[in-house]
Amino acid sequence: MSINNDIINSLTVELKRGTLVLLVLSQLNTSEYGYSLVQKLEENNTPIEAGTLYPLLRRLEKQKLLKSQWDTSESRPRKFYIISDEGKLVYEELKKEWRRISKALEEMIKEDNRDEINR
Amino acid sequence: MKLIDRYIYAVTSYLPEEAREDVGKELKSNIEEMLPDNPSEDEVYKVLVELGNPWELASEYNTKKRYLIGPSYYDSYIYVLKMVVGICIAVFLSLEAISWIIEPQTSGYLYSDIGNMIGALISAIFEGTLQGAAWVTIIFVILERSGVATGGLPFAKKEWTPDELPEAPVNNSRKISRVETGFSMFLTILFTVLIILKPQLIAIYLHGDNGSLDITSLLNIERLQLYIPMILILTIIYVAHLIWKFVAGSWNLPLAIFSAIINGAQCVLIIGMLNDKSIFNMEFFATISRILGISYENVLMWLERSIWIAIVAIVAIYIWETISPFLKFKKII
Repeated sequence: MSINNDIINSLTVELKRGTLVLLVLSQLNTSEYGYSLVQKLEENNTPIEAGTLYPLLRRLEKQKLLKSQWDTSESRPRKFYIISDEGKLVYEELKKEWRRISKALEEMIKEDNRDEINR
Repeated sequence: MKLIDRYIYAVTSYLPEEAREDVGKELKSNIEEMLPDNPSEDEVYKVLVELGNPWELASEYNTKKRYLIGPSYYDSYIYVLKMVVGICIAVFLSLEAISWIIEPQTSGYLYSDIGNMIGALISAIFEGTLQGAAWVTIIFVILERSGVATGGLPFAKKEWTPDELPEAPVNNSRKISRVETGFSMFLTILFTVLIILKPQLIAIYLHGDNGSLDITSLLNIERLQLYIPMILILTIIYVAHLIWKFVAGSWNLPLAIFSAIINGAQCVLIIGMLNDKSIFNMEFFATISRILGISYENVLMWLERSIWIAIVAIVAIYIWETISPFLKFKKII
């Protein structure tokens, strides 16, 4: 059977999309600006495209999960984002949920593997 | 640098006014961070390719609805659009053709002037398409925004419960016949276009002595102008209600209430117009009395009676039309 790469790619994007908020909130205990966060995520093997991340930061700020501040002290003005108190609460809840889901899902996937070997 | 400014302009032009400056500033600083000092055109180009299509980037920033007719309405929209545009073209075309045949002198056409006629017919098709499409679209946008599609009450943010489920289609007495609704749509459009654009067509046509056509209009067209804004508004609301009936497919409480209100408003308008004697062209009745050899007073008496019969009939039909959906609702019928 031929593998449809388009389907796999779009499903992978969908799979990752749900984890983006958790990922971003986890990295904003210290303040970062858009591009520094892109680099940080890349270094940690969890890259997000710049075109996805910048709007996401803004949306999270609108939802009051992030706070932002313009830093104009350097030659280039930069907009720094940091997690808000509300964001921390949301992050803790999301983290719990993620652990529960990933653990349960991992179990399911394992069982499926065993089936395949038995066949 | 110019390329960056063009990119930022392209992105922010899709955004709401109040977000433009801040998003633009932030995007610019981020793009500059992604570039080395004194970047070459090529390097800028690459970064912009990475950020992707400005429209897509802007839509990530925007989370509001950015469509006129959403997926839940799309199929009904296309269906109703085709039907209404079809009806409009038919109505405009036939009225134009009739006025060309009946009153070539008054409408300025000559029988020999086929070019004129073809021109008028083409512009009738064009106008029919345009009017039909525009009104259907506006009505659907309102339906979309008010949330009727999702099955809930319009303008009310209420949790859905299984009580709101329509009956399964088999033997469903609450079902609204699409043919009936389509027919109402046709009559409504025909009547409105006739009254607004060609009221002079409702008339007695007599061959005069010199072979010309004597036309005596039933309605006093000047007086009629007074009612046209009201007729137009009620027609649009009525068509919206017919479209709602199409989309809903079966009666529900808000639809029945809306239906009762708009039908009532139409009744009041029609009865009001019938009671306004100056809306009739008295010459019309003089002509009738002349043709039929009945005295003018008798004709007027018959007019009076006919108006009363019409009013009674209209009220009776209205009461039935208003009550029947409610009865179906309570499963009495």
